[in-house]
Amino acid sequence: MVLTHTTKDTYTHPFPTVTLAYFLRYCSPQLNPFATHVLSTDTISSHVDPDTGRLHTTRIHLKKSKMPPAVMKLLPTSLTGGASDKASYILETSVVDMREGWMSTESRNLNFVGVLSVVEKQLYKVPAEQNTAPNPTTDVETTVVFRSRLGERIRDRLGPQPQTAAALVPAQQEGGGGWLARLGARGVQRSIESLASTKTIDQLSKSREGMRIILERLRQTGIMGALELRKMARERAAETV
Amino acid sequence: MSQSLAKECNELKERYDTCFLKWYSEKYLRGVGAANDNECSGLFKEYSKCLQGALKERGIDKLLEEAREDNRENDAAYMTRKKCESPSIMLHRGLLTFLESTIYTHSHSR
Repeated sequence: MVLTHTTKDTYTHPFPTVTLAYFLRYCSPQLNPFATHVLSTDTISSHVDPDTGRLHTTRIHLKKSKMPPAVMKLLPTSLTGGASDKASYILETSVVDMREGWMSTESRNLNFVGVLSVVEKQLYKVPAEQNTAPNPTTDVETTVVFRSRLGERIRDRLGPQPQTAAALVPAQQEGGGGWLARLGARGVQRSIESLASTKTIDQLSKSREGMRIILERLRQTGIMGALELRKMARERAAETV
Repeated sequence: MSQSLAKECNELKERYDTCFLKWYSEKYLRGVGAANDNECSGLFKEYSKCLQGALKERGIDKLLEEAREDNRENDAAYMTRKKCESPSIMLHRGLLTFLESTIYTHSHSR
């Protein structure tokens, strides 16, 4: 089962600024009030391809999770990836081509993939017909693909021993039957995917809102102003520790 | 940027991030930073060295490896999917709560 959600949007800012805002979007809550759930951001690789001039960047974000601990206890580590129940890791890859005027990004969750895998792809580009417009804009197309493989993964990983996913869930759940077995793995997968899709539409508008706030800040103060603000916020945080 | 996932790397990360953002906005975006070996390479090496241990310690290196495997599996599974077993009949309140919270985690992170 796979569910896909696609949206198109336009920023009233030039393409280079939008790509900079993308890198800055989890910078600090002072810059983006919609990023308070981001606990950490690390760059694991970054290089410019000498042939194409494209910048390839890979980052890992740690984001706060709303998963109740009780739920996490029900799930075997093969599903949770053995991660903390408080946060989930997101792998982000991006490619910027300044010559051709596009940026392509992909974000995917690294843990809980057995329950639900969410892959978000974005393509930012300079609109072809607006190259000479006085107020340059940037188009973005966002595609999110949801895929649940609840049940499948467990069988994949553990081989023939537990025949169903339900065997791994404590028996008292659902009066001993195991909800996965009763519902049918595919039914559960479909439900997870459609619920995820509905929630994500709300979240996407917040993420756009966050980008817009950073873009406005960049328009007002430029990159150095944004960096200064970030530095001040960091020093304030250090003082209160 | 926000913190590094490893506290001990915060200082190195901060230096690298600042360098990267300057290089990106002042050079790369203006078409003068196409060289792979830029002024931030040295800072990145130090930061990366610090981060490697943290990635291993937290099992992220394995998660990365799995993500790559999943990509391969997905491609294969997509081609040869079998028909599903039993139909979905009843969605129990508890299950819904569980699903919603699971989903919230992921959609929230978008």
